[in-house]
Amino acid sequence: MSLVVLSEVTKRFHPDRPPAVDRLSLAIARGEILALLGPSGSGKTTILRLIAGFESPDDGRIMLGGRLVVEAGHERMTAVPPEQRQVGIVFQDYALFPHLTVEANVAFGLHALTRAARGERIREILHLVGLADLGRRYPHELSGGQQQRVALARALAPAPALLLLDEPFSNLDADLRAQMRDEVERVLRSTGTTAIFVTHDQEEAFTIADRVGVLDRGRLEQLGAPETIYHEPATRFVAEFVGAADFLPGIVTSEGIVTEIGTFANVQARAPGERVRVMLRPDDVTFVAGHDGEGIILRRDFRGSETLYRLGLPSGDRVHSSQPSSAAFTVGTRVHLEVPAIHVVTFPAE
Amino acid sequence: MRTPREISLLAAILCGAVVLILSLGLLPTGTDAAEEVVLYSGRHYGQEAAFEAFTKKTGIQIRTLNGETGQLFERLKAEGDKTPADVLITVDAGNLWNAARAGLLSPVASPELQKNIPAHLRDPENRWFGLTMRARTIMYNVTKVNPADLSTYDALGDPRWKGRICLRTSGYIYNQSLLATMIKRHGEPKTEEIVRGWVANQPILINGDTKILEAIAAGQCDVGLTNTYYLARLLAKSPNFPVVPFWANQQTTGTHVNVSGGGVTTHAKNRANAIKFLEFLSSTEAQQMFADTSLEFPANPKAEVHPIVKAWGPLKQDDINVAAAGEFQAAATRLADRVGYR
Amino acid sequence: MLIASATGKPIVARLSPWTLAAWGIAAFVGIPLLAVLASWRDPAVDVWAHLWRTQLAELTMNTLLLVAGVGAGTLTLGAGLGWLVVAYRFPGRALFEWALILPLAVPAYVIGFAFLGLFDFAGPVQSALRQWFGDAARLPELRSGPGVALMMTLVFYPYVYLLARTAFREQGLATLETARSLGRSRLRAFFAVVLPMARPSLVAGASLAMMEALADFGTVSIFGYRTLTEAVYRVWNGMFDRMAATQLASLLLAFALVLLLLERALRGRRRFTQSQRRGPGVDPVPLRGWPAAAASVVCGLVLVLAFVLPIGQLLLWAADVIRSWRLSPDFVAWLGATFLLAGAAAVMICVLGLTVAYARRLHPSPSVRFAAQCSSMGYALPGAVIAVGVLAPIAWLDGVLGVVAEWALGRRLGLLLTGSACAVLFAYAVRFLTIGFQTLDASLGRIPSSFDEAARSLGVSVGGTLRRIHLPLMRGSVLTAFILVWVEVMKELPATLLLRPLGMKTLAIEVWERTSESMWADAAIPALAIVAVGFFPLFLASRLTSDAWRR
Repeated sequence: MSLVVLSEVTKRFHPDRPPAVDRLSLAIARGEILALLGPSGSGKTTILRLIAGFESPDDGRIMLGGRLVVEAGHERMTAVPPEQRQVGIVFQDYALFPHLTVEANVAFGLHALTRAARGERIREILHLVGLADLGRRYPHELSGGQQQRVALARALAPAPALLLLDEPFSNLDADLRAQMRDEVERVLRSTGTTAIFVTHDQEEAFTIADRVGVLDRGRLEQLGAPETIYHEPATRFVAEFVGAADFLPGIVTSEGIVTEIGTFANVQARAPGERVRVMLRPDDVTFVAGHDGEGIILRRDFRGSETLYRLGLPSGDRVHSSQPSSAAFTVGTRVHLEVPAIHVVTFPAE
Repeated sequence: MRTPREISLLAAILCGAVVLILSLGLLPTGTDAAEEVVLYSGRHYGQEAAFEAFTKKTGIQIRTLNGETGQLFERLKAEGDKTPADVLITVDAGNLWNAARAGLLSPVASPELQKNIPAHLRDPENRWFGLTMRARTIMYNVTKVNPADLSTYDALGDPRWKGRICLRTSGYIYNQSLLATMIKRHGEPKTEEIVRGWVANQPILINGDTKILEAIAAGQCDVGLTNTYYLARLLAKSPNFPVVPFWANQQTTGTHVNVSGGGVTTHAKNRANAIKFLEFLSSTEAQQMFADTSLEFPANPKAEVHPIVKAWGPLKQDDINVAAAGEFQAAATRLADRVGYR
Repeated sequence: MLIASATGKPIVARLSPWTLAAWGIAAFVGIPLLAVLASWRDPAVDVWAHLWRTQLAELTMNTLLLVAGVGAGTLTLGAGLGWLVVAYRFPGRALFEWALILPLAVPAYVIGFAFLGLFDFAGPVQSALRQWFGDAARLPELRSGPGVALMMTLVFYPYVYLLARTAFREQGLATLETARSLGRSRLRAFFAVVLPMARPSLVAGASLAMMEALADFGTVSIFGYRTLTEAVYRVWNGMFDRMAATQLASLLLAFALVLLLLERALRGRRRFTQSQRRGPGVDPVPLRGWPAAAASVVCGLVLVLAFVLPIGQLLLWAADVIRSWRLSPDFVAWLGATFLLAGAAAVMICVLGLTVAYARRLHPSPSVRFAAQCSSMGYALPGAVIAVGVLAPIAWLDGVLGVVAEWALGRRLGLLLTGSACAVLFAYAVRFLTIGFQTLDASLGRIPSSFDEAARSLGVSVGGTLRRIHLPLMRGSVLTAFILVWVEVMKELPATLLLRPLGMKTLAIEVWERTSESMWADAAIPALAIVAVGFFPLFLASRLTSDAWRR
C-alpha cells in the first residue's frame, strides 16, 4: 500500500507567476526511499513542506498512511496540523535546539512515552546512529557529521512512518558526505522508514534512492529507478540535468538512425524521415587513435580515475568521451569514434 | 501546568489580583473613621506645617493628591460628581480663574475669608481665595547695576539693557500671568510694544527662576525677572548673594503680584470641613507659617513677612484683581508667540 | 495556520487565538490613541491658525531635527560601543560592558538638569574656566538644538547599546568567520556582515530612543528647546485648551507613524537566515597600545558624562541634606508603591508584548503586522496625553459600572476604576508596550523558523513550541524586556501623576514635587533611590544578556 499519495497538488506563491508546484501526483510505497532531484527553484523543498504541513496547497490532495491530511478545493480546505502528521524532518541546517543536550534534543518528540521508555528509546536510537556516548554534549560541541546524526536521531526517535530530509548532506565536506550517505541509508533500511529526500546532487540521489523523481519548475518530469532515469530519460531536461549529455542530430531511415558518427538502432521505433537528436553520454562514447579518424581531441580534463575528452567532429558538433586515465591521449590527436551503445535515446529535433 | 496559555492566564490572574487589591483599598467605606478633607493640590511645598496645625486644632484629617494643575483639572472633570476632592489648591491666579470658569469651584459665603484676604487677591464671585502672594519683579546684580537706572517693566526695553537681560521662557505660567495683567492694564497693542522691546534686547532665556538668579550673580546677565521667593530662599542659604529685587512700577501701577490659593469644589462631600480648612489657612496663624516656611508674602496683610523679605522694603502692589491673569492668559500666550518671545 | 481537523470536516481558515489576541491587545492600547484622534471632531481652528502663523513650521523642524539627531547619535554610539565591548578586549572592558547601560536608571530630565547645572554659565566648570582664563572663556551654549540632541543621545543610547550587544554576541563565530574567510578585515567584516545582520535590533533600539525623544517634555523644557511636545503642554496649560493640545498631540502620532514605517523599511524583509553553527560566540581580539587606550577612554568618557557626573551632582546635593534626613515610613511606602507598580506593569507588558510578537511570527499577515505597529505607537505620545486619553474611557466605564452597581446593589459606589491602579497600569501598557514588544520581537526573529518546524514535526503544538523552544532561547531577552519596562515605569511621571490612586506616591513623584520648586537638594535622595532600585536589575540584565542561551 502506498504510504504517501499526492494527487494533483498545486501550490502558488504569487498569483501572476507560474506555480511552485504544478499538478503534482506521486505515490510512495512503504519502506521506499525516494529522491527528489532538481535544480533550485524546481519546487522540491516546497513539496516537502506541503507534505509536512508547513504549507498548504492551493489545489489537490495529500494522503499519509491512508489518512487524508490535506485537501484543497474551490470552497473547502481541510488540514491536519504538522504536529499531528507524524512526519519526521531532517533540516538542511539541522535545527538542533542549542539550549538542549543531545539527549534532550532526541527526547523532544517523545513526550508520549513514560520516562523509562523514553530513556530506553534514546539509548537505542543514539546507538543506532553511532553517538552512544555523546548524549550529554551540546550541539555546538559536536562536529558537522555528528550534528547531522543527532538531527537524524531526533527525527527518528518517535518512529515516524515517513522521514523527510531536506538537502541533508549539503553542509558536509565531500568525504564525510559519502560516509554519511551510507550511514543514513543503513539506518533507514534497518528501521524500515519510508523516506523522501531532496537534493540537487545526482550522485547522492542515485546512490541511496530506490526511485528518483526529477523536477523542473514545479512539474515532475520523470519518476523511476535511477538506472531508468539515467539511461532512459523521458525528456530532454532530464537527460541534460542527470549526467552529462551530448545531442547529435540524426535522421531516421529504414536502416536506423543515421548520424555523423554512425548508424544507431531505431529502438524507439521512430518514423522514417523524422529528424531527431541522439543522446550520447560520455561513458557511451569511446575512440581509438587513428590519423584518418573523423574526430579530433579538442580538450582533455583529468578527473582522477577517468579523463574526460572533448572531441570535435567534422560537422563542428562536439561529443564527450570518458576514458580510464590509464590510457592518455593528447590534444590534437585524430581519433575514430565508437559508440557501443546499448541504450539509444532520441528526442525529436526542435 | 504546562502550556503557555496557562502560564499567560496565570500571569494575567496575578496581575488582576494585584490590581484588584490596589483598587479595593480605595472603595469608599460607608462612613469614614475620622473627619477629613480631601485636597487636590497643584502646590506641594511649604504647606505641611499649616496642614498639621489644622489637624491638631480641629481633628480633621487632610488627604492630599498632588499633581500638575492642568492634569488635576482633567481628573476633576472626569470624576464629575463622584470626585472625592473637597478642596482644590493651585498656584497662579490664572489657573484658579480657569477652574472657576470650568465650574469646578463653587462660591463660598464666608465673612472670615472675605475679611482675611484682600479683594484683589480673591475671586469677585467668591469661588477662590488667594492664600499666599508672590511678586514678579526686576532682580539685579548689586555690583553691576545702579538701581536708579531701573523703573518699570517697560523700561527693560531700553537699548541700554541689550544683552544684559535674563528671562524665563514665555511658556512659564507666571510670565504669562504678568503679560496678562499688563494686557488688562494697558491693552494689547501697548503690551505688544513692551514685549517687543524686551525681545529686541535679545534676552537670554533660562528655564528656571533660581537659575536666572544664579546667572545674574555669575555675571551672565545683569537683570532679570523672577518671583521673589526664589531669591529669598537663595539668600536664606547664602546671605551674601549679590542679587537684590527692585520693585518695578512703584511710581506707576505697582509691582505685578500673583497668588497661590484655593477653593471648594463643586461636588465636595465635606463642604463644611472644606470651608473650615480654607478659613484656617487664611488665618493669621497659618499665614505666618506660610510666610516663614516658603518665604512668600502672606495674602493676609495681618501676618508678618519673613525678615529677609522685610529687608527688601515696602512694596506697592498692583491692585488689579489677579483674576485678570486668567482672563487674558490665552491672549498673552498668543501675543508672546506673535512677537517672537520664545 | 489552519485549525486541526483530523476527521476532514471543513473549517473556517486563518483565524487563530493568537491573531485574535494580537488584535485585542492592539485595540486595547489603541483606545487612548483614538481618544487623541477623536479630539479632532471639534477642531480648534483659531489655535491652529495662530500656531501656523507663529511657530508650527519651526516646531516641526525642531522636532524633526531632534529626532533625527537622536536617532543618528544613539545608533552610532550604541552600536559602536556594543561592538567594542563584544569584539575586543581592552582595559576595563568587563566593567564597561554592563556599566554602559546604567544611564537608563536615571530619569532623563535629571541627567539633563545635572548636566546643565555643571556646564552652565553659572556652574562650576565655567566658573572655574573664567577664574583661570578670564571672563572671555566660554563653552558653547548648551541650551540649543545640538545641545539637547547631544544630551538625549547620552541619555538614550543604552536602548541601542543593549539590543546591539545582544545581537552582536548572538551572531556568533560563524558570521564573522565567514566574512573574514572572504578576505575582509575584522572592521570591514563588521560593516559588511555583522552590522546588516544586527539591523533589526539596531533599528528597534534606535526607534525606541527616537520615540522617547519625541515624547520628552522634561529635558526640552529645561533646555528651552521648542518641540511639538513642548507646544502641547504650552497650549494645554497656557491657553487652557486641552482639546487643541490633544489635536497637537496627534501630530506626534503622525511623527510616530512615520518613524514606524521607516523602521519597518529599514528592518528588511528577511525573516532570519543563519547557519546552525551559532556556537561559542565572537572571540574578542585583544587590543594593545593606542587602540586599547582609545577604547577605554571612549567608554570611560561616555560613562562619566552620562552617568557618573549626574550621579555625582545628585550626591553633592544629597550631601547638603543627608544629616537631617530620616528614613520615614512615608519613604518606605513610596518605595513599596514604586516596586509594586513597576513590577505589575513589567509582568503585564512582557506578557502582552510576547503575545503580539509571537502572533506576528505565526501569522505574518498584514493585519497582524498592523496590529503590532498600532501597539507600538503609544510610545511617541507624551505621558500626559496618554494619561488624559486613558482618563476619558475609564471614567466612562466607571459611569457604566456605577449604574450597574447601583441597580444591582441598590447603593451608590464611588469611583472604582478612575483613580485606581487599573488606570495607571492601562496607561503604562499604552506607553511602554513597545519596549517589551520590540525587545522580544527582535530576539524572536533571531530564532530560525526551522526550529519551529522541527518542533512541530516532532508533535509539539504551537503553544508548546513557545514554551519549550522559544522562551528558553529568549530568556535573556525576556528578562531584558522586563527590566527595561521596570526601569521606565519607575521613572515615569506624568501618567502616574494624573492617574494614581489617592494616597499612592512613587519615588518619581516625590522627585518631581521637589524639583518643580527647584528644591534639588531635597529631590536628590529620592532620585538616588530611583537609581539604586534600577541599578541592580540593570546589572542583572546586562550579565544575563551576555550569555544568550548557554549555561
